[in-house]
Amino acid sequence: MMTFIPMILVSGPLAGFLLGKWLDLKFKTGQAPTVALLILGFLAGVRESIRIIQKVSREQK
Amino acid sequence: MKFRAFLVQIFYSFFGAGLAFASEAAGHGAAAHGEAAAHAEEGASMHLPNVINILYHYFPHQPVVEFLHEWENVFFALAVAAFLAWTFTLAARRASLVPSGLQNLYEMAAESLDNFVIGILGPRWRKFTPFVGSLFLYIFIMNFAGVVPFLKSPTSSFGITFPLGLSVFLYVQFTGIRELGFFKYLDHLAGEPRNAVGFILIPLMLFLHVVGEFVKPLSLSLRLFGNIWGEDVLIAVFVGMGSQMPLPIPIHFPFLFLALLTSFVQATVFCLLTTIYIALMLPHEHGEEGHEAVHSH
Repeated sequence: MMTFIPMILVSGPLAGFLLGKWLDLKFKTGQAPTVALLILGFLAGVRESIRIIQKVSREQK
Repeated sequence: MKFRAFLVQIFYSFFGAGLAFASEAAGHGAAAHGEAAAHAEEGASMHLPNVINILYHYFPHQPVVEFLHEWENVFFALAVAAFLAWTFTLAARRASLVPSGLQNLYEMAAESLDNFVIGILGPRWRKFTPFVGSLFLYIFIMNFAGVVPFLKSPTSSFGITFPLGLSVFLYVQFTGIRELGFFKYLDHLAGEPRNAVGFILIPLMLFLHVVGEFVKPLSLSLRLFGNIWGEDVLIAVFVGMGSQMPLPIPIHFPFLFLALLTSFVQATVFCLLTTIYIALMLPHEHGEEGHEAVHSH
């Protein structure tokens, strides 16, 4: 069941990167937002994983 | 347009290597070099033949067959939806107090799914059972279609799994706005700031939450697509290997059971995550109350 954790960790930076790339193509902002959102995406992925693990372990108790 | 081309490029280059590897393993002598799009074309042969592939093979210039071939995954997804709607109607038409046959099967499924949702969200949030239950049955039957001869798992295509993930994302956001109210929903996205540090961190928390929300449909769809696609390719590769033996042996047979297991597990994980995403969006105190109420019984 916990196979979704790696996928969330991968999806975080991917979502950040795609959002950043879209911003770059739309507003010609350069690479900075892509890098920033990539890092934020990674943090969001870690945060989501922790929240889900907490929720699942609470259900199992 | 540029962005779409960029996405297609990433998609093809990412899966090109995997497809080439699988083709070689099957002994089809697939080219490991060349255009990434060519690898994607070979990907079509990495699945077992289905009714549309066979029709396309014999009648490649028929407009209807061409259309079906182009929209193969959508066709199978709609066929599964129609099959479910038909069997539900059959089960409900001859409903009796003591269920039997199809009615018994669907009542058992509905009850199990209801218990599943109540177990996580609590009895107060039973209203989410139809959404989660429909998703489970739809995804399970779509996954299962891959092991039925002449059918194909529509979920082995990212074009089908991403809309499923997107529908969950939209439903979760809608639920958040409906249950919390618009301003509390924004407060939730801003990380519920209650002190000076919280207010200073609003921009960071807002970005973190928004990106976190986008992670949900991506992770849901990528995981489902990856698992089912991998399972279908595995079976196709072993069918290819078995057919090339001096005496053809169905060495893919054990993997059909694995496919049955993964079909069920992937549908369950999709619904478990959907329910958890809904739970994380609901007012906290209510979710906990409901949960405790269930466990006190």
